[in-house]
Amino acid sequence: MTTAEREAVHRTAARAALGVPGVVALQPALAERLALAASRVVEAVGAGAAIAPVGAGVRCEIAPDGVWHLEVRCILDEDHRVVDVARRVRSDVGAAVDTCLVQHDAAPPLTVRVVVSVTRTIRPAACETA
Amino acid sequence: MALDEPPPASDDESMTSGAVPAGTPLPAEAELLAGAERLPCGRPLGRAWQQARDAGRAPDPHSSHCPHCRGAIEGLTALDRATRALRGEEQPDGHRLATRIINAVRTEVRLGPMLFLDDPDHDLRIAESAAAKVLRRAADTVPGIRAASCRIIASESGDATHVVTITVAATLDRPLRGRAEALRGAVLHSAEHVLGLAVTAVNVEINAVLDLSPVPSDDRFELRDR
Amino acid sequence: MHNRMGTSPQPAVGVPPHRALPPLRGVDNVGVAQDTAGSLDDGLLAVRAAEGDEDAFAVLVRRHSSRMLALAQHLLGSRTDAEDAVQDAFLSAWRRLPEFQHTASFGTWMYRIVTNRCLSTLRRRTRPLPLDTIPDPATDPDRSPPHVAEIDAATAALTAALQKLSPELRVCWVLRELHGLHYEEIAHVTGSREQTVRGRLFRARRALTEAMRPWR
Repeated sequence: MTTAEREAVHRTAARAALGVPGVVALQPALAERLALAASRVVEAVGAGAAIAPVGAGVRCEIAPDGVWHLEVRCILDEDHRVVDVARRVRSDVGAAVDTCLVQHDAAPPLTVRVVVSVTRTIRPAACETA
Repeated sequence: MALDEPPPASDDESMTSGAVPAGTPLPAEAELLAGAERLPCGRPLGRAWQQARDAGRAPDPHSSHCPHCRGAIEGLTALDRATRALRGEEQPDGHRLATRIINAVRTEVRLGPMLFLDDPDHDLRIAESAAAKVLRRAADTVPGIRAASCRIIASESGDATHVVTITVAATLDRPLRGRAEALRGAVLHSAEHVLGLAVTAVNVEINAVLDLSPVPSDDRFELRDR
Repeated sequence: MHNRMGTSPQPAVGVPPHRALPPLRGVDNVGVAQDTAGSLDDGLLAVRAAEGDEDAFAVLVRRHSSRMLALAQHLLGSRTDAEDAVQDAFLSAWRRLPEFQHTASFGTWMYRIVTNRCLSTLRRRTRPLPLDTIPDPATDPDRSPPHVAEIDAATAALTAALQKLSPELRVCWVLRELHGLHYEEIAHVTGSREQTVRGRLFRARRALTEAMRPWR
């Protein structure tokens, strides 16, 4: 997988996940969080995750059998049933990445497996504001 | 470095007043000596202060006449007055700082174990910490119950079912048995309808008495209240 | 807001600091689900926070930050250093909560962490305090009644004298006189024996009464 492909997949997956009702933000990985913290933006804007760079919170690799494995880490709104939102994230991300790979003429087989990890649920109203 | 370990021995003995000769001995002895430091009239300073603090009791004949004792008492009184004023000053407003701390904490969530949500494909997961927060909140809705620990353990069968062990504080004004059942019901309902997590059993432990008298709005005394 | 310091500390007589099964506090009302955290006892919140509940920890931070900031400011004499010390202390507490043994209250534990943070800041500090962080008794002349001005000046003098005490004496005096901790709590917070605490308090008072001589 080329770097461009990987980046496109990341962006596509993140956008698709964030488009699902009930998904508030994606949970950035440790390295991304550290970069954010270092930028001190976190302090100014609030609950950091919401302003993570596009694609943060998505992990992606191709298994030897050619299957694309994606993990999307989400922070959900408490008002939605968690498993329902997670299912929708799985299907929306899967479909969006399929389409993306077709557009990039990626080599077949184009099997995509999406794992959704819910890291937190929050009450949007309860978000700390500065 | 272990943060709550005592700091290494310091050199504060060298900062003592002239009453304790430098290089004298063990801290404990040095401190006893400090308390026994004598005023020019021969009375220990600590005793003169003690008299000053024994409000209501008339001063003994010596200290009401002795200028050294009176001086010592006045000194302590002046300090007490300034201390009261300092204590009465506004506490700094920690709100902005608290917000900064909370945001920093939220960027470093401890993920911990992940649990499978109730879905046949086993690729939807939730952090135990996130699920526990929801189940604790369900427990809190049961009258006279407040949740403490909540652990959710995957069954060994590997079928994505779970056993919840929840520890709660309860008031003693109602039969515990009925409330344990209500608690199980609330947790199971929340697991299914709020999370979508398969829970086969809820173990309830009541390990503290819940006092529902209102928390004092000013909580700075809680340290002493407990 | 309830942001004044405590009144006169009460003596420790007959108050066991940690009961085996302390009654926990809460407020029962309708619709508790949304708001219980704010009414929960520190002990319950600490258990929840130890299991990764950052909402519970947020309540603890809100509840204790002003008091910890006051402590750090009295120990360090600088608002900026105090904020850094308190933030570091809370982040460290968050990471270490899973190991917190609940043998002391959360509040006492925080006192301990903040105090040790401040002591290491003081040990690292090579530069003297910037002048503007030590209040000058001669300034702030605008409060009209003369005795108020005099009390202010005496308070400022005390604050300045406090900064001249050795850190160990200052810690004991501030915890006792400004935060109302008992000897045994101070011993726990500073990791020393009660006898040592008593001795340090005596020496701190002695040095401070000297500094307050002009205000007798």
